[in-house]
Amino acid sequence: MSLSIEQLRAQARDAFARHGVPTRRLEHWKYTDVKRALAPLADNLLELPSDPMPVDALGDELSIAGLDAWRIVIADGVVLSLPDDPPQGVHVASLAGQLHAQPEQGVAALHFDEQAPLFNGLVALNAALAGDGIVIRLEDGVRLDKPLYLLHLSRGKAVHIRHRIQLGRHAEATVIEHYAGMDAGLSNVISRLHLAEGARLHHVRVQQEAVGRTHIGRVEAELERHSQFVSHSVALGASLSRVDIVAELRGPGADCRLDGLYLTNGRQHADHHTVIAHRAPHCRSREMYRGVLDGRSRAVFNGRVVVHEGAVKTDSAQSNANLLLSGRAEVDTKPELEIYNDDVKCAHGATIGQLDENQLFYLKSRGLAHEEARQLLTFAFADEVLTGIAVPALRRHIEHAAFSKLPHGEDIEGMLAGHDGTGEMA
Amino acid sequence: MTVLKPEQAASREYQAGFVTDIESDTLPPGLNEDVIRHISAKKDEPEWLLEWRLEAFRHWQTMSEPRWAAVDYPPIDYQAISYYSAPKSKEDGPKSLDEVDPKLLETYEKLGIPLREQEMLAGVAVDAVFDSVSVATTFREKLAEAGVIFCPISEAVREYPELVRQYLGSVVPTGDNFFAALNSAVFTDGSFVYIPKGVRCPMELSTYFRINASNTGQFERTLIIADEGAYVSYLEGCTAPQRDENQLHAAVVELVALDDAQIKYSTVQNWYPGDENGVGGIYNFVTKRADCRGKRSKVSWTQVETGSAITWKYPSCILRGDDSVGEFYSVALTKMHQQADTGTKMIHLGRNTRSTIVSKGIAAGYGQQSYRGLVRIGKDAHGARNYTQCDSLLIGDRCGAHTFPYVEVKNPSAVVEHEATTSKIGEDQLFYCRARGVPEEDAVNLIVNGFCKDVFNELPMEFAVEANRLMEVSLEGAVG
Amino acid sequence: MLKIENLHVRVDGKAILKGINLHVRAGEVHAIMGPNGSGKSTLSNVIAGRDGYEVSEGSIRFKGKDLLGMAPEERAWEGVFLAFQYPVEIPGVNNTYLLKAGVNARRRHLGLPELDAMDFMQRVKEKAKLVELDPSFLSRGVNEGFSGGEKKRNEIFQMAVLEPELALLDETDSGLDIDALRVVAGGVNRLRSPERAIVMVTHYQRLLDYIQPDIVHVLVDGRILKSGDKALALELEARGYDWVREEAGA
Repeated sequence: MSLSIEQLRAQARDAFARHGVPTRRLEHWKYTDVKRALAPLADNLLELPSDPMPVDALGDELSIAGLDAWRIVIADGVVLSLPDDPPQGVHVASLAGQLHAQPEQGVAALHFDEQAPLFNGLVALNAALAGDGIVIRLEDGVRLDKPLYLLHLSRGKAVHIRHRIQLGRHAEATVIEHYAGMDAGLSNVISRLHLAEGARLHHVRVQQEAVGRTHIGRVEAELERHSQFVSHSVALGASLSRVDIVAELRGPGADCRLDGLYLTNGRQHADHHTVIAHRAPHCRSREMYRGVLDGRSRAVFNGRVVVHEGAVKTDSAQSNANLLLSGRAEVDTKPELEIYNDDVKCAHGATIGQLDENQLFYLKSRGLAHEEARQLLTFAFADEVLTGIAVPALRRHIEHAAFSKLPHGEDIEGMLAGHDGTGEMA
Repeated sequence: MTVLKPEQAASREYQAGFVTDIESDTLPPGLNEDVIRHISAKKDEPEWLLEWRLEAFRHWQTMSEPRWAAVDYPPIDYQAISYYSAPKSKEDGPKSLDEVDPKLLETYEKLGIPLREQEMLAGVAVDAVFDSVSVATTFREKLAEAGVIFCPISEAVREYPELVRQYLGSVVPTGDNFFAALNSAVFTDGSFVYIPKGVRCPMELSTYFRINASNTGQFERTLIIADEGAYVSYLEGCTAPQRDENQLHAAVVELVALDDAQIKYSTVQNWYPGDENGVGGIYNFVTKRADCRGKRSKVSWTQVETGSAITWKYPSCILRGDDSVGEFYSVALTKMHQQADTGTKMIHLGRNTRSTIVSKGIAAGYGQQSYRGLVRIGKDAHGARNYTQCDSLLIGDRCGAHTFPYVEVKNPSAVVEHEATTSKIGEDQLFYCRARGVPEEDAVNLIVNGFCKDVFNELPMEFAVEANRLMEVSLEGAVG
Repeated sequence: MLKIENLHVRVDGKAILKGINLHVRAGEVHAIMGPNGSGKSTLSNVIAGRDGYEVSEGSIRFKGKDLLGMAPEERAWEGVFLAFQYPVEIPGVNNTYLLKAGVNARRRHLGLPELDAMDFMQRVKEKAKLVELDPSFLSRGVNEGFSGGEKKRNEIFQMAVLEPELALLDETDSGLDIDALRVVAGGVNRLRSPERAIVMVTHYQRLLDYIQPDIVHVLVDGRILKSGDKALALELEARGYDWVREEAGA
């Protein structure tokens, strides 16, 4: 059971040698050619990352403006600093520190999922090479007073990071993972989350890596009885991004919401694969992913809901909606349901289409120009995904980033400024 | 409280399970080029068709069986199957029904398919395929008057070689997939239909497939061509005797619709499903595809799948012509230990092409079923529309229902909507029916039939009655 | 005809009915009134045989037979009918077909010959007139896409076709406008007969203006606290339910 760090790394390297980088021949990589994206790095994928870049003022510059949070900067996969005085009951460490000081705990944090160990090359690569990340544990009943903000700045060729977040019983936290890579290369991040009974976690991923970079993310959440997990995954940057989010509902009454937004243009490629596994009775899951695609970009959504035997009274709903703004964009969506139980209520849906003509007409009849009306509706379509984000500075940041990606977004942002019902836009 | 016992689900007798005792001319099991040459010679085929078969066989040998479907079965020994079995009859085949072996006529009568024209429902012409050969085709003269060709494909190869050569394999190429390649190599019979320009086929055409011999596979091939402005409604039914071994059925159906043509293809599939312990039953691995080649052409697939141990089947439409329309209406019932992986592909290539998919799946007992569908909107398919509704009903806690829809869109003017639900049979609905005096089992049947109604409505009258009956009896004992 | 004695019912372990006694004779019309949550709907559901109700004590006998041991359909065959407060929609299941299946199952149970399609349609058309039901509703799916009023009217129509001996009307007046109420009540009144008993469960006395009850019961907190004639209903309308509670407590 307890491997040494050397054994674990060796196993992972073997697994990578076996699997290699996923190819399109694999069902779950059918629409995403990550092998091609990583071709420039192919020869040195197993090299250890170089020293971290100097961050200096960059950290402040790229941080989410006005966000009151516990900020931790991770540069080229290295944790630069930890909060000096975290609240009582909150234990924050770096993976590198733990591997050094408490190797057993470090190995535990790095340990792979026993159900599907090292099942693909990128997961194996991460296990082989991830040298750092955040290890955070909240004791029972502890409520983190402000969000934990993990700012990832990456300039190096290949960066592998492993985070581990554990919430004790009835603990509550908001964790923001912000990715602001600045160069071509690979970011490969795995976050493993555990929610004990009654715990509540809001997990937000904001991916704004530089064009040219490949972003691979994996979030594995385990939900015990009556815990609540809310996930937002926002994909704005990178040339190719692939994020897998897996929620395991293991205890009765667990509740999970997975929301996501992808805005792509140019030749960007954004892929989300989500799995919601209902393994216990009386659990509920909701999922809403939306995408707006422009240019020659391509987006992939694969949402899988599995209801296992015994997970009675499951209530699950999932939707994926897409707007194509350009004749050269492409979307591939696959909302899957797998059900091994009769006492369930499951629904899913996917749509691809244009803006609602009635809504367009309504706005125009109120005096908006055609283009304005289109932009406004496009923004509203995307913004609906963000309604669950209760941290105003964070929402503002994402909205601003979204505006700047939409055609003529600045005009709309100006138009909405100060007129937004929440008063957050001013 | 409704208690659903999986082992009881649908333990009704399979009514088509008898065996006809008839002398057959059957090839010994095994598959090689000599077997194919033998089949081709038996059929008196031209050289090009033999070459076509051999090419398919050579390709097949390089392929491996698909394993991506959510079905589970032991490996098939393709050398243990006999690839040709025909009832022994007069040297040159029956000239009329009077020359058909009375035992065969009796078989079809027992199945409710009388072949004597005067006894039939008016307006349905039947081609009866027994094991590897067509034994009778009715109403041929009447159809010939309208210019409609309806005959066994083996005969069409001899009588209309140009038509067959032009279209055979043009929708499902020989190397399309493992089972299609196998079929191309060894197909023995099937129906051929040609509806000439502007002709509305004066009656429903129907083929009735029957597997009788043991250890044989059935590999029929159906080719239907609707020329410009033509219309045809075609029905297909299938049964097989009750046997402990699994038998392979690997058919290919190709439909071609030219400008303004319409083909309505309906199937009631009731191959032997195996017994309540999952022993025996047909492996139904079928490739069905329509090419809507012409402008404003339309193809509707309607299927009611209640039989077979395993069903692997995706009747598809390639919507090539501008303004062409594809439809897929399906009811699939899996009970006992049946498995079905079925759905459709709608490939939109032309402008303003439209497709509708309505799939209703019912899983009971230990039944497992999957809807697997692909909607692809090509780059040039401006204004394409698809609507998909995919519902599953679960009866009992040992069954499973799964949905795997693939949606690929490359054109911004497309509108694609996919909706799916899965739920158990409604307790409130059951109670309402029972409070009106309907016994519980009947209430389940009522609700299931209501659930399937949108699809049954698409079936021709004769089949709708049959379909209702199959669904009803199949669920007997589903509720204990 | 209906004899309920000391009926105690629990739902999810919580006591809802706490010792109901009710005797209904053929030809009588009873009204059971009570505030929300008093157990009115529980009572009608238990009589009709819905799952999820635990009878911890007491009995319900109908024409001398133990009703609690019967499946819902057996109760229907014996002549019990429940007009639902919230009739469920059953997509694709033809309204007339459902009734025909129900009527003939009952006839088989009673040892009577089944009605053929012609006779049955005759009967259905007559009864549809009785409740002014548009004939197009006959061929539609059960309650599928019906408005609230149409559903209630369909319930009374079903009652007319099924010809029960005991009809339970659960909040039949709720959600009806005055015209619909008049039609529904007219339908019920025409079904009154010396052989048939009717039990109306209702929140308001409005319905009782149209269907005159012989006996009015007040159901509060799972018990029948008071019974009387029509005047009691008017008094409840004027004074509410608290005084009954106080009187019973005193």
